[in-house]
Amino acid sequence: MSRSPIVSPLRRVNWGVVLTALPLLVWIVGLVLWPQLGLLLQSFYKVGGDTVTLANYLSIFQDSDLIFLRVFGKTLLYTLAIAALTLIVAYPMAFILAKVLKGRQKLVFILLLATPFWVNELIRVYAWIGLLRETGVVNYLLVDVLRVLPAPIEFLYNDIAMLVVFVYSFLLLMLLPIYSSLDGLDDTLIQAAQNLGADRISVFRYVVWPASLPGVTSGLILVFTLSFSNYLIPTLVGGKSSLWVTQLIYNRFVVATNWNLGAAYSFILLAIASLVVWGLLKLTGQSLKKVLGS
Amino acid sequence: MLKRRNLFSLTVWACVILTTACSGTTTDTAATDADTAATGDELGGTLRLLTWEGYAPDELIAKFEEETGVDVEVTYIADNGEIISKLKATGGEGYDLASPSVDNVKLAQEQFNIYQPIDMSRIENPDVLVQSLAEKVAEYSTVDGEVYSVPAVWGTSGLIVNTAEAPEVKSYKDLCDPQFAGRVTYRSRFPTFAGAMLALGYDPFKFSLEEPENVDGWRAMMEEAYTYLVDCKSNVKTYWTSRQENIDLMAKGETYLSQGWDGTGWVLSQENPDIKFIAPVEGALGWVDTFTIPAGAKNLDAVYAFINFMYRPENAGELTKGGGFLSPVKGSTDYWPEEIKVLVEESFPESALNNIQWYAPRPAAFDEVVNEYVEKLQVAEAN
Amino acid sequence: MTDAVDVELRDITKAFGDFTAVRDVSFAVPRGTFFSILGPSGCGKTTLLNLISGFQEPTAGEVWIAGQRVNGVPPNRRKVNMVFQRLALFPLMTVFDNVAFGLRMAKVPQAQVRSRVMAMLETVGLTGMERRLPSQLSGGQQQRVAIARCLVLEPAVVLLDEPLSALDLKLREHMKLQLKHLQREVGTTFVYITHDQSEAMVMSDRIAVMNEGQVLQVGAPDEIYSLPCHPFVASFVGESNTFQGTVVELSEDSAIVKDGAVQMQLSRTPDMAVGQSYLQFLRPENVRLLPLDGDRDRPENQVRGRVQSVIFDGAIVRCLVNIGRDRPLTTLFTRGTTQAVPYVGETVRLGWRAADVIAFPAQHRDQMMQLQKAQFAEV
Repeated sequence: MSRSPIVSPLRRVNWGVVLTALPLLVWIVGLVLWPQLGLLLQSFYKVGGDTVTLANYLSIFQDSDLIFLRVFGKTLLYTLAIAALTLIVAYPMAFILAKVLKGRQKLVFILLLATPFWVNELIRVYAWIGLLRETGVVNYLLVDVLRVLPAPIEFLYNDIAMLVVFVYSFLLLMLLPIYSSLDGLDDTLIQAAQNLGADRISVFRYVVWPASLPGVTSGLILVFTLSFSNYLIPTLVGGKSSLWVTQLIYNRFVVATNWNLGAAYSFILLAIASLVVWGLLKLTGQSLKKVLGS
Repeated sequence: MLKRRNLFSLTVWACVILTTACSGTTTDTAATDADTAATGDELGGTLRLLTWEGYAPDELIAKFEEETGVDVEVTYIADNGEIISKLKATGGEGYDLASPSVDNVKLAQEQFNIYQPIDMSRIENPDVLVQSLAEKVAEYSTVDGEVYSVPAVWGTSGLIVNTAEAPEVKSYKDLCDPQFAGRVTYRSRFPTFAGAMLALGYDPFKFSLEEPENVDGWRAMMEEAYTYLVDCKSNVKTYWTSRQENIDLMAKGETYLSQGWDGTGWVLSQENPDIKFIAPVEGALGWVDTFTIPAGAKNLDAVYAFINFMYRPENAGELTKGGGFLSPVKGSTDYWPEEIKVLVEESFPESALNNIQWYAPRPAAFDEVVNEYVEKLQVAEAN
Repeated sequence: MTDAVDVELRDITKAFGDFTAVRDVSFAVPRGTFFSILGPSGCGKTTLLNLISGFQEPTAGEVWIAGQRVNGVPPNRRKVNMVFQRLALFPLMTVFDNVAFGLRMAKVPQAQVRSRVMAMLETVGLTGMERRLPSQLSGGQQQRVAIARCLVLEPAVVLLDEPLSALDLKLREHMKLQLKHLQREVGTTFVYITHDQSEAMVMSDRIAVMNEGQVLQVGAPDEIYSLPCHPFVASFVGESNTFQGTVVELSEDSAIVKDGAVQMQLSRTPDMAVGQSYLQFLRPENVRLLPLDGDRDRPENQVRGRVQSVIFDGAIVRCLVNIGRDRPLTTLFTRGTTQAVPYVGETVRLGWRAADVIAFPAQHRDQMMQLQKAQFAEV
């Protein structure tokens, strides 16, 4: 660069790179940032009003029953529980996939896991409804085939059913990043630890777990953010009392047509979700860069 | 006021079900349309509908496309708010014809200016409509002297009952009868509150027409209905969110009693004769969905062609056949299959017809209160 | 074997399904020796290592470590530590934590851990590096961490699985000597696995040469090199000119063997008979360039040929001489000796002593094939 100071700044721009990146740029700016910015602006106006105000944000503390805060708090708590449960279910599976199964078995296992996810989320949720409902498959098995229950039980429409379907729906999002971290873990590290006197628990604690942490964090973040923003599962499977924060936002936008308040709710959601993600990264000592790479 | 509404519903039913006198026009209209089709005067282009499931049956769409050469694209919505949101987002662009409920049109138009007035001169045969219904729709959808809607489909919501399990049901109050604990389903939306208010002896529609400024009064009524529904919550298996969910719950015998649409009830009756749609003693809740044209509609020729097409009785009759929806077109009953006729007449004896409670437009402030209580109901713990 | 023995294998066989990886292996490693197991890849040496470390159990036979039979004892309970081929340092732990790992697993008190780790790091010359991560070290330093991690536990035996193979040539040469010195210094028994005969030669006190799951010879490096007791050992260890010939004449203490045009005299062994087929090995350094005329120096075998190529490898000069058969004869000498380096195309006279020819009866044709394969692999 210093060799030829006469070169115009335009020449220094790599137009090839710019052109290649253009669709991405248009995508990010035009379809992501721009509408978000519009919503952000709206959140500072009252519906139909034209003065900037924090009223929409403050309204969450003023509403008589603190519905937003209650629903928000419950959603947050449940989402964290969902993320933790999904981790507990997915980790052993990921471990078996990465370290126990070989070649073809691996392929079959992945196929078995992934095939249900080739169909639409809605259809999968309806499949669960068909399983769990009072006249569903599970009750049929328990009552008519195994005869362990005298009469059918309604498994649907409660928080536990909702958690089950959530965990199922997001299992792969947890499993795959953990699998990929564990797959990258050299087996000789496990052997080395054993050779240096570590028992199974110590091998897990000092070798396997730290190596899987980027995947675990990435899985936790994915499951957390996606269940936090999920609408379908709480609506269809959740009970008469399981209002989710997204339903609240949907109500603002669609039922009440109050986009300004809906926007404010959305940005509170975004802020809290970002905060939790940041907290997760801090807690696990991971960086976003590392986690995204896994 | 009450008298006027009674008169209104009477006339509707007089024409739609009980008399066949109005159907004299049927043949004429059909003949005229047949002529038009014969000339091969094809419109072409695309017609983008924003409507409810069941309002645009495939056979009708195919027939319309064949007659006019117009390509029809249908987008389904499940909530009036969705229509408003979609059109609000684009300033009325993206669709050519929408079907909001009439009680929603005025407020949406005043707030967001998303529709355009109907050009009545382009409705080929306005006389084919049940006049009282057409007038009501015109009245409720007039903004600044312009009419924005014509009727498309109407119906009611009331009680869907499995008479084998719950033979004595006749009132909204029965939804909260402890003997049906866990066997009841309804929506957590305004119709449920309206039913509860009627059960408690209030008339929410009269109130919103006569005292639109009285938000405190409205709130007090909503609060009472809310308390009543929270007490009732232990009875509810789940709040249904889609027509299909309501059908599944009733058809599988998981619930015995539901507050839902008449058409849903009649679909269920054809599957299981024990299940019936009943107009409760407090009155079924009557709604009218409309043809309303978004401000940014592109293909107005196709829009009016479609409205005129749907106003032909033989086409209008199809709506009832498939989904149990009722048409405001005189003589459409002639095209009903016998079993539907029987079901409709069974659900609506004359006294029930007279007692239909028609939804009236609500002020925005009322809706805010409604939304607040709808959510409170969902958050509340069942007793 | 009256001296203390740290590792002893008794009639070890290990089969994986139909495939027998190790067959009837027995040897003992005396305390404090640097013991190498040398063989081409796939010869079963890694299996032996796994059997000693406990990652695998033998199908038959016994493993003894420090006077105890350890069959069935899990790897974390054996007084054996291993330096892995890819080192297997824990990437997320500091050098200190890596070295301290085994001590912590053994629940050694914290203060003691610290002093022992620091002492060990000093021994391997890594003082000041304890807070670095393995990725921040050079290859040689990583090597030393891997060894320190084992030695700090004061094991009876350290197993090393080709730990130098990942290093570049220069560092490898350097580390060979370092490893040897380190082993001398700490006095721990090292069992070192390698396919590189030069590594085995440089470092070992004793070498076991393996092929196809069997140990063919165990001995000191010099013994292995100069007195191989199996054609594979002769060909795998060091460079050789090979011949396959038939005995044409026998005298009291010598025999004449003919391979095509080349006929040579070699020392007779008791079981030799005329007409028998023999494999002969001749180390290049034992083939000498003789003056074209003059008879001051007359080894038993002499041949004339034309120099095909001359290869300079530092101090060593390698001449390939065409002697009228399909493969040239290689001779090797040190530069700077009185001998002048010949030029390509020059006619030279080569000679070697009968005593320098190592001969084995050629029982099987495939034995020869195998040897050629082994030589090829070495190149």
